[in-house]
Amino acid sequence: MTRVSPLGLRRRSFLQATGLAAGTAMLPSLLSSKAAAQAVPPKRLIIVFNELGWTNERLVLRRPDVPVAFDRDLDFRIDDLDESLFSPSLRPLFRHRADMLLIENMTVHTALTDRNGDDHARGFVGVTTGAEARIEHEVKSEASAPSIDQIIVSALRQQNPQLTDLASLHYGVHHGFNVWPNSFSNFHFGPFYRLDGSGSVVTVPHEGNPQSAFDRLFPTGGVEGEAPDPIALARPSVLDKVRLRTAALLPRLSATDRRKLQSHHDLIRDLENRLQNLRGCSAPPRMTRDGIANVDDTPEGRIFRYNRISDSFTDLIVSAFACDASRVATLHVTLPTPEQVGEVGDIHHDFSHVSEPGNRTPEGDNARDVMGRLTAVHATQLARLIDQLKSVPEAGGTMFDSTTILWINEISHGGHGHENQSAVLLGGAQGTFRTGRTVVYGNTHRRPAGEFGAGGATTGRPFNQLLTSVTRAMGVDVNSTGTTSVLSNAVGGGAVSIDLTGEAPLLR
Amino acid sequence: MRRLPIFALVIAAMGCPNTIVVDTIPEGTQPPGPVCEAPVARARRLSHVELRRSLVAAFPTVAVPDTTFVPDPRPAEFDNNVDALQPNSLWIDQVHNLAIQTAALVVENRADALPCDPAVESDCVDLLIEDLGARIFRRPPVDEERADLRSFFEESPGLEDPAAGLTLALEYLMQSPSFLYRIDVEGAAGPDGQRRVDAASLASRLSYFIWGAAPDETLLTAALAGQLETPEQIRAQVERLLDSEPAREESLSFHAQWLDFQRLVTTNKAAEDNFSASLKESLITEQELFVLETLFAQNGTPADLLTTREGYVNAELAELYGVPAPEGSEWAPVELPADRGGFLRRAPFLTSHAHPNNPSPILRGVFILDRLLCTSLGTPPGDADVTPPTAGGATTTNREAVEERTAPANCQSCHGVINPIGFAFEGYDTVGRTRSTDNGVAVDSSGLYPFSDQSYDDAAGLVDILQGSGEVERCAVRKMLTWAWGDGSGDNDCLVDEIQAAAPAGGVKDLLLAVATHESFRAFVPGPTDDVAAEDSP
Repeated sequence: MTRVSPLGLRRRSFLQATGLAAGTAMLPSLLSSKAAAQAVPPKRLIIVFNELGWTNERLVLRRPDVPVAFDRDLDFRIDDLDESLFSPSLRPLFRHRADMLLIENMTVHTALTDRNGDDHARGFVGVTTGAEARIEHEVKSEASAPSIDQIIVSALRQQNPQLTDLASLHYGVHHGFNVWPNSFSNFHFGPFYRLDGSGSVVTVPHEGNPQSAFDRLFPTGGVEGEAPDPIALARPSVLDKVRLRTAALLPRLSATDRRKLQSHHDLIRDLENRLQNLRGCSAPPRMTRDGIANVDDTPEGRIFRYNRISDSFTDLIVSAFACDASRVATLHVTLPTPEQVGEVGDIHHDFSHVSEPGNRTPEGDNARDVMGRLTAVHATQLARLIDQLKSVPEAGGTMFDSTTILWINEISHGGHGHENQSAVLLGGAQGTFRTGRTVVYGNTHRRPAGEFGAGGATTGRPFNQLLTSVTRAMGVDVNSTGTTSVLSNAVGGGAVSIDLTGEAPLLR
Repeated sequence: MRRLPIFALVIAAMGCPNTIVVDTIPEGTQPPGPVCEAPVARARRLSHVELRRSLVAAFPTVAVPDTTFVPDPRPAEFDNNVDALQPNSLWIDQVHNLAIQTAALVVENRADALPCDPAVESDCVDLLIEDLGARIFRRPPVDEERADLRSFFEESPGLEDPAAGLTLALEYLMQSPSFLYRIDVEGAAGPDGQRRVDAASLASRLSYFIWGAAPDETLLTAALAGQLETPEQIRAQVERLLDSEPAREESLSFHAQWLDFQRLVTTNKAAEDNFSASLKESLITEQELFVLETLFAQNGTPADLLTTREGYVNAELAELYGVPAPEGSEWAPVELPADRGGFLRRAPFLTSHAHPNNPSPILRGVFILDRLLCTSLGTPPGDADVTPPTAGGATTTNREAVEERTAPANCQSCHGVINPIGFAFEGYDTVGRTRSTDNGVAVDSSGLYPFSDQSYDDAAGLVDILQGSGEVERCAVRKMLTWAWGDGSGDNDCLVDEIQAAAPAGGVKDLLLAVATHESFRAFVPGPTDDVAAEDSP
């Protein structure tokens, strides 16, 4: 019996799609998603987080006919801009400009008031949860609240019990060679957080190995045309027995151990369900482990590895969305190597810090250029991801129509800024967001009081409101995310509360 | 060579496949009754390292896949913390795939890996169930597990294809909670009514502590045959375990985590520091040889950790330390100069606790406080500027830059303790070379030890004070207990006292032996149960 692929996807097509063959990296248009049969496809969200800041000066877009003074909120079109007016960082996304919403001048208020964690850690936590950090690992931090991806996926799973733990995918892109500081988060400290069984907020672990990610998504291989494997078909029964043995252990355990083994029991059940649900779902070709492991620690090797891992994860996300196995994905992308943009040195010391806005020397300009080009590497990855999503037909359009990509970063510049922060939305969440525009928020909010903010001065719109907007766009009825207010100094003395609730205006 | 079903034979000979009774201890051989409160018996999830080593031990003729797992969480320095090692969705999947891959390899190599082949020998299944059960579960399987395992051979697809049944049985074993978790079972009470774990649980405690892996056949067979009862029997098994390669490897795991070797692996320097990839590799090897050859092989003590002049160098490090390059072999033992005595004055520590361009008195001071004196100062406040301080403006030297950065009163509550300890090493630069000047100014390594009124001129003086304080010896015991139990047992002062009394010099093997043979190590202290019924929805 030939396994039927709901994608109708052929192996050779995937080989072409993943860039293993020459030519453009597009999924073939003959694909269609499992959700295509549904009248209204499900909404999906991808959060792309890249570390160590971007350089706002090389990111933002301006129109000659629209002055920006930050004295009020404003927006303007970017879908009719000439390519020459596109910023260096965003130019790779020019072809998707009609689907882009660049949001500028937000403030991560909690990162300014938080007493825990270093600048990066407070940023990790603030831009994904809207909450404060809590100290767990020296200067590194855990969050005090779950990140929005987990809030969303929890709600989706409540609405749809068929969704399993694969409803959210968490991948990390790293070139795998040591660079100082070897990734601030080191995959241990966020930036995505969930509630565990005991109600504690813990870091969501990332998968960094595309091969393992493949095995998790497509445990039976999932390649069309192969005969069904009787052992693979019997695996759910193995798991069922394992689950029953786990349940049998529970009564004789202490309360603490019982919680741990109960969690094990539930996770086995989830895996069992996934194996059933994923039967027949097709997959992109596997990356060979040897092909990656044997890459030399050379500039070319690092670039190759970084790009292959990134491409593989984006392919897996698209496939998982097409199978409707997943609705949410996070992609934690560490810095490219300097060689990726034709430079040598230590990104952190030689470029990132040097690029801070106060440094107006030629060195500073050069560092900002380099950081801008590094951001363009991420934009190139994103452009490819959008190409892939747009190549899957769905409900008369493409899968991209129901997908939103939120592109964020923990600091707004090399001086560890948490003000004047930007974010990029790609995709309109089935028309929820009006794309093809830039929104520039004015300095209309009070700056929080504390060591970092001169209380009473003004600053940009709370980043929390963007998080709330995205969460609501995914169909989750919330009015706030993370912390709801922080304090600022009132004019004339005393304290005044800054409201962080509600949606960010002008996005819809 | 075909593997003999030793476990199965022992179990069959005992005629008691399910219940191992351990209640007879000869008079006069009992250890002293427990004085200290023993740690609570907890269900311990195997760490990634323990998981892999356990599979390798179970199937030594099979190349167990080296699956890349997401790193285990390390809330403190060690990766075997019982609270942190929780199951999660990703781990479940990784174990699932590892089980699939390993099972396929075992089936492919079953002629060597298993005592019999169910595809060709009709009476193989029962033998396999007992043999594999003992290997994987570290005890004989219970009746329900036997029934599960048998079903894989009696139902499709195993009914038609015994190799398929074997595959599924192996996958079941490797995903079972009895393999993935160490769950102690209470055995017979001691002579004074002490609650104790059963013999198989004790065997697992011993082997995971000393080897980081499941008991081998010798240990488990002894346990199941009632030969792990007396202090002499336990001591003999512990000494046997210690005298082995797995113990060396596990000792390296312990020391590498205690002394934070990983920091060197992720250290990079500025171009002008001349820190080549080759030098880094040499330093990584040096710190490993320090543990394996100087500490473990020679039963090294905390005094050796602080002062030994024995070192291992290759040509590159010989040049760095100013000693003759070894002849003939790549690495050789040498006596290092007096200013290189002990771990703290060697390049691996000094390099990894330094920033590009400058040494870090703060990192060095915090390491000594946290790792060698067991004194945690907590975390820096959120507004602390943690970027590396550099001299400039009013400051000329690295020491002055650190003093200026940490001068505010709210910094001094911690840095008043950290800095003087770290400054003692200002005579060593960012890659561990000795230096007498910093930015053209004579280096100042002097200080006042913050826990006494003793002063010192340099690192040698500080090391003398550390050694004389006795605190490093005590801290080493705390770290060993934390590692042994994977919990907060390092804070159990009573236990620390007794282990120190049993191993006063604090040699590495002496401490391992003292912990493993202490009465607490066989004690069964159940955790509290509350009335919240676990959700049971099979």
